[in-house]
Amino acid sequence: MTPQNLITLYESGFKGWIDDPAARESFLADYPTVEFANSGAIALRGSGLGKRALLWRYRDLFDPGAFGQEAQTTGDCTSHGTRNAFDTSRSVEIAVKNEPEEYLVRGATEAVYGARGHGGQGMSVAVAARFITENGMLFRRKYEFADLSKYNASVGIGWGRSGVPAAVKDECRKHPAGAFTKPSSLDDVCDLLFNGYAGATGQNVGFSGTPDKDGCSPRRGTWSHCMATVGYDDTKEIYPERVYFIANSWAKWNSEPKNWPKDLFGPWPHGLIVCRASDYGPFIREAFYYSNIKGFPAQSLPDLGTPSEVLG
Amino acid sequence: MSRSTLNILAIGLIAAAVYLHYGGGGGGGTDTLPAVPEPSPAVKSLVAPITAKLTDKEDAATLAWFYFDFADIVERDAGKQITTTPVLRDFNRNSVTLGLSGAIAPVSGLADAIDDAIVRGMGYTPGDIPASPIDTATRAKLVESLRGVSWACCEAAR
Repeated sequence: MTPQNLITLYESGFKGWIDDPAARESFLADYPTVEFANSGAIALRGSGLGKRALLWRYRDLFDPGAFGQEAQTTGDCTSHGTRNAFDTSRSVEIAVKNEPEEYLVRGATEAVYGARGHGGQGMSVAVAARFITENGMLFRRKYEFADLSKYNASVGIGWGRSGVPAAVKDECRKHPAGAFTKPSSLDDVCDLLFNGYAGATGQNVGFSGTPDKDGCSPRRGTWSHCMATVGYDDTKEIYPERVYFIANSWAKWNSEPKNWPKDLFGPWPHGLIVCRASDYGPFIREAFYYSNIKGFPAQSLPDLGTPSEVLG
Repeated sequence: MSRSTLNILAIGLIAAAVYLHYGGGGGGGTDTLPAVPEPSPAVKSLVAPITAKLTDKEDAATLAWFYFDFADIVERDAGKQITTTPVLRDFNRNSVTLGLSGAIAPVSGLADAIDDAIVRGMGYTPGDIPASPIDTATRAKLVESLRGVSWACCEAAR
């Protein structure tokens, strides 16, 4: 499926993100302390205002070009958005928070999509959040039950019909998202991002693939779609208003903004949407920001690095 | 960002080493050595190979000051920046590389002897150091080991 096919599909009303209020309410009822205001995240309130966070860069550090790769080939955007948020938060935990883990490999979308609970296409973000919290994530490697070293949508499609096998869930439970937070406002999102939490969101919002003169992505059409929010800039040094950086899962589907501040932000990650705050409102209704991810333990160190080329 | 802060810490250590080596503060020569306390017998045993390898007194004095400052920085950091063994490894490699490159003449096996003494002093096994947070007790051992290295270098400088 080409990026143009995906655009056409979503613009014609395809539902990759399924708005399932019952699933969302049930999930939030089971985890009443995940709302930003009721959670430990309240301590972060106000910390991100007027600042910026470019979280995608940490994932790029370990997995260069990841955001421009692995375009979805079925209606599994929710699993891609969730995986992208999971891997981004995981990268921040390693690179910034010095957690003694290794990135090792990219997360795999298949088990998450397989947990959607039906044989059709599309998935609720809340259902995905429940799965990676109560179970976890698989990775791009070979397992006894499936070879996931390369993205294979048919695996997740099949598990959706039959249910995720117990052995898969057992494997997932080795790598859960330990915590998640649901923001209630645009400011909450800034606070979460500034503190290193990336999120997956579901909404009915589309964008043009051609940025405007400010380098922002204009709204166009309606996509029932899940994507990952991986940064924001509230400094107004580059953009006239606060913007949020959204990672799509369609690979190279849009154009790089002409005024992308490469010196400041690094290379533009393929597919990134620069969303004005005035367009971002719908992105908080079904949004979950992940933290405390249990990744891979770091390997033992061979030494403490005392350089023989200096001391002999 | 912690890596930037680590770099600043490393630069501080490097600046101290360069300052001392090139005549400031009384270091670099053998007349003035750091007032490092005599280590425990166990640490003395670990650092004995370092003393044995160092024959150049000026270089030994430079190393004595470097590791004296290194211990001081780790102690004052109190785990705020040097949080885990991978972070310590980065910090150690950067500090020694940038602070001592060209400042002393390499001595065969000296890096291994110092690394080994610090690793064992922290309670780890060379070749199999867990990538893990450094707790308070281990950090205290690290400081003691670094001071032990400094003491061993002082012994060679006398």
